Amino acid sequence: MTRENARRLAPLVALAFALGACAEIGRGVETAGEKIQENPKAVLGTVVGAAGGGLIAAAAGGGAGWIVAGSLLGGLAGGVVGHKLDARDKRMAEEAAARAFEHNQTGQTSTWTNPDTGNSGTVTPTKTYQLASGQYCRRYTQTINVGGEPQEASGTACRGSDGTWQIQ
Amino acid sequence: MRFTPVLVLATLLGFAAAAPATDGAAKHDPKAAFTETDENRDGFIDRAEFVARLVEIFFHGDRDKDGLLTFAEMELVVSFPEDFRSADTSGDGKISMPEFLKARAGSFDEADADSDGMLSLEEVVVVFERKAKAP
Repeated sequence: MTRENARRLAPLVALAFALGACAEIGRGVETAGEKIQENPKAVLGTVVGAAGGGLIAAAAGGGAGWIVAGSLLGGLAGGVVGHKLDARDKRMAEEAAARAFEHNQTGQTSTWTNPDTGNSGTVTPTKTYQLASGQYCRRYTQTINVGGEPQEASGTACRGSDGTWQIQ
Repeated sequence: MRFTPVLVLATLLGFAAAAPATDGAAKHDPKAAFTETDENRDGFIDRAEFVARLVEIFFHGDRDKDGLLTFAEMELVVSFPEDFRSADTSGDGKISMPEFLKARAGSFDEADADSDGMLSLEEVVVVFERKAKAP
């Protein structure tokens, strides 16, 4: 397999991981090229869709640099939870997420607790995969306890070339 | 030590694992690696779990996160990095994730002695010990 071919296969491999459908290792990689040929638009759509998500996040204020708190917290109870957190809560949640995305194994949880507010949370990567560009993405779950009420959400974050993680 | 989990992963990956020289034989623990890889805790490793673990190792091994593994990076998380030399088709000292997965695909079948598509702890340990003893 040439490197070019390998790169072309990456999105399908990534998709297989994301769907938990990678039943066979070697054969899965071998047949990836065939599947791309059979349905190139579907594969392309997957990649473009993921990239589009990043652009949307950036347009919404993510920009370069850091995880967007609004996006990180937006999946929690329709975004209401975000309004109940103070600035330090949000910063701690972002930092915990960045640590988890960058360093944690899948299934390993990073936690944060703000002693001033009593609020706390966790972030746990649940799946790791790679896009055709070589960009890494990680699915995750998170919990946030605000006022003793736990809220749960899940999402996907992808690592930009600048080393930051963007919520998709 | 921050890298300990990754090193445990590397043990299983190799089925012939070796850890970075820093900790010597302490990282040779196929049982611990098996437990980590057996995500659904059913006592067996299926192919999806195996692949997921390989992806994890690639991700954590790729220190500069350029999407490729150099052999220098590989040596920190993979035993017997020389196994991957043939996967480096371009000869630039780096391999992509699909190349990495393909290079290790045979390890699953090699370990699956009863060809049931699942790896038991015993099968993993047998292959691990066999490859560890290989010259």
